[in-house]
Amino acid sequence: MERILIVEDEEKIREELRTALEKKGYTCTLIEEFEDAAGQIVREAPDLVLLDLNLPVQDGFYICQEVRKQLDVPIIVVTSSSSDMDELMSLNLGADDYITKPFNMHILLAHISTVLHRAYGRKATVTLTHKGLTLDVLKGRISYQGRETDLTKNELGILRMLMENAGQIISRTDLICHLWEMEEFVEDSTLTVNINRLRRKLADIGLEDYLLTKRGLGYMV
Amino acid sequence: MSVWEYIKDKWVAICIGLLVCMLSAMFMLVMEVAMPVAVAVEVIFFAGFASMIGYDCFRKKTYYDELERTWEGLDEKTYLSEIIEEPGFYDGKVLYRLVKDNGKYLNDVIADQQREMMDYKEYVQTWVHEIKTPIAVERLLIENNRNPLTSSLEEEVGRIEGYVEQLLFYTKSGSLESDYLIQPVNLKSLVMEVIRRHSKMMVGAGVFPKMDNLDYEVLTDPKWMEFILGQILTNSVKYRDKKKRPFLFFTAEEEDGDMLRLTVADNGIGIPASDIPRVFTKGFTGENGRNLKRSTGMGLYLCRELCDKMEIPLDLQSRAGEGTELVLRLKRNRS
Repeated sequence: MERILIVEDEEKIREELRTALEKKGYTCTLIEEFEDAAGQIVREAPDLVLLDLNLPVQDGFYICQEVRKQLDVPIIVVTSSSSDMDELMSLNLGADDYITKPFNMHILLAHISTVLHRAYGRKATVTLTHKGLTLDVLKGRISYQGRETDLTKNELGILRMLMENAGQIISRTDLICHLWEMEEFVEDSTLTVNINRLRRKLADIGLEDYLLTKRGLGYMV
Repeated sequence: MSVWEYIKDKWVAICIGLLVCMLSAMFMLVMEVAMPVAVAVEVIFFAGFASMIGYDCFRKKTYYDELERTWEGLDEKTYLSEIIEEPGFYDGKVLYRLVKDNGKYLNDVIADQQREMMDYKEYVQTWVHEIKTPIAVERLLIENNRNPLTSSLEEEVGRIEGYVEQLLFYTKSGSLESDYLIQPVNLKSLVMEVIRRHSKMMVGAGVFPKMDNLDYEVLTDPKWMEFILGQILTNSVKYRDKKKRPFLFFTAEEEDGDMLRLTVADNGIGIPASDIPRVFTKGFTGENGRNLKRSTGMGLYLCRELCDKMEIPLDLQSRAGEGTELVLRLKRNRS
């Protein structure tokens, strides 16, 4: 799995970003001492760098430039400044992409996978497993005890979000929002239909009562 | 300066002059001075007084008329003290000195105010920058702990973010320097991005987006346009009609030349006809705002300000009880 190095001086963002990315299946390394951030990045040689601009000791621009001299690693600049100037500077100094805080996690993930794909040419296999059910996100296929079936885009989106947050109740609003993120502007009634179809598909491969309804709250697996 | 007003102002001097003429004439009559001599003396006296008054009047009238003309032609009135010329007469000199001093004083005050305003603006911009970090942390915490509680928190965080963004654009809108960059933008992805960013709010309120014929390249600043459409969208969600199935409809239509007419229509509660002329005024909340009690009166004002800066005409049509329609005329990218 791809190793992502996070250069961010705000400890909480760093830690939470790691949790979020590890949940999506990436391995994360954090930089906690900023004396020689550029040197550390080069020594770690990660697959991708998430770089904040506002850092103690050396700023992001400098680090970006230094890393570029020695390493051809993809760099995504993550910053709270939304000025065009910063964006331009970053891209000129060799950053591959630019995203502003506060970012939407889905957007950040989309940027990460695009940059990785561009840099290494292969699409990572993303699979999620929970209670014996395996979901291959890129193929949109679920399998349980040797039995397989394909999911539609909406079903995949719903199941993916539930499995990524296994054991947690996800509200209908969050599920609809998640589908909207995927540019599928569904209505409330469509969600009900999709959930029912998904249940039937799960039952077909031998999983009854996998997707639970929590009355008044939402769904969970 | 009017001559008549000047004469009225000088009535004491004129009376004294006439009195002197009369008294001297009477004196010469009593002393039995020869008539031609008396007449000559009177003529000299009268001419002396008249030319004294006349000369003074002429001098002042030339000066003050010129001054008034300068004032009328001045765009920046505070520059008067820089332009004013020194008059040749004494009382004018006193006034001249005072205007000069006053000008200096006013300029200092204005400079102080401007500096204070700049500091304040800079602080607000730093503040906006700073607050984005805790918001980012909150978003990540929510992402990592999805449950009904954080889902509801996410909606509130979204609202905070909305207010912060509005503040940022407000500090930008007033200033002379503008950080926008007009560039070709795909209208459809721009609208999609706006909807995505406000999805939580829309889904929560049950407002459904519809899009039609948006596949065009337009020339605009994407960040500014996203903000403007975001404000319009927020208004539609805020003023939705709960009795109907609320929707928000984005459509584009080609117009003469290179223009594109983007319409954002909703089926909300609409705006009373009497309020429509003032919806773009800063701080105007109107009847709907008073009923809802959660209106800042800034949204549409900022939309108009930013559109004006980018030279994008923005219009609003609405009928109470039926809905509201915002129309933006965007320039198409033809290159």
